[in-house]
Amino acid sequence: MSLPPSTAANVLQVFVSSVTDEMAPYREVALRAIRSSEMLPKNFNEGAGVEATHGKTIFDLNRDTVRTSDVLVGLYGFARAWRPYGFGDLSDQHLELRQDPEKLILEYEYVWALEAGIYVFPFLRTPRTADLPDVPLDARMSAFHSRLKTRTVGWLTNTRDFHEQLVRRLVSIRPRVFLSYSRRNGDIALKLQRELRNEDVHVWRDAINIPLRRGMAVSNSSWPGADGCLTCISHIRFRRF
Amino acid sequence: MDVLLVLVTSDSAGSEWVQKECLEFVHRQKPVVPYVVESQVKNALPDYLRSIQYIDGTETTGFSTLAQRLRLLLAH
Repeated sequence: MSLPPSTAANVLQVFVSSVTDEMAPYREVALRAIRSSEMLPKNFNEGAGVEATHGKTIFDLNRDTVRTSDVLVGLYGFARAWRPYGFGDLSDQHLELRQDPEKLILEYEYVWALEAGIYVFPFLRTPRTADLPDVPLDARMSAFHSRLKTRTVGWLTNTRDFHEQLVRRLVSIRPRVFLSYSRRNGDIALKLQRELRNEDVHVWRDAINIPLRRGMAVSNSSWPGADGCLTCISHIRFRRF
Repeated sequence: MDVLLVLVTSDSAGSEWVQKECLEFVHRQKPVVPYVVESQVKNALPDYLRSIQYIDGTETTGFSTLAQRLRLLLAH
């Protein structure tokens, strides 16, 4: 008898939220820090290049990718991020986009992460942040920075310091307790996991591979993107056990 | 993983997969902590959990006892 081998589904998955171009140097460092902490980086290309599938829009897929992660690392710079409203027919399919047409995808990702109760580590660019292109601070990003600063944030100074900060945070949440539970008790398990987190006890709860019924499991198909991150789409597949 | 925490309910008590995970940790001589959250299960624990001291999550002090036990186990 043995437990499933370590796969993409049973290591901590870390979603990196950022404007790709502006934050490229810090994004690279984030991926390195995540891998060196024995976790798995996840990515979602901002709109273009991601195709809707399984009847879901790219907005759905983006949300699913964040919600099925364990950690969100936000790298928040000055440049305006992608805005889902007005992209193709997204605002027809997702009426919530009309409530705030200016809302950036980074803001959505942040809110999804908070709603899902995953760990959120936001890092903010300042005028003194090194190794980044000279970009003016966008008004919407500035407002987002202000909201983020009402909670604990990390400051981006230089890539070396950021690497140390991120590794330290990731290692501190590496779970050492495995929570075994029935799928029917998913809500209780999630609540228990969150309560224990407040006690600084970090618990691993496998919400991905837990059987639906004999022989089936909810899983993610994942494949490496150009930057070595995983792009994930949720669906149901058969699993052997 | 260093410790197995089992969320014990009437559903999990009948789960083949929960049993497998539990027996795997026992086989590896790693600590198993059953956390019972339904009163009716206390008298109907599955065989593989009967010899392990459980924490009663239905009591008001249950959660703090659990957090304390886990911290203690992780400190060793």
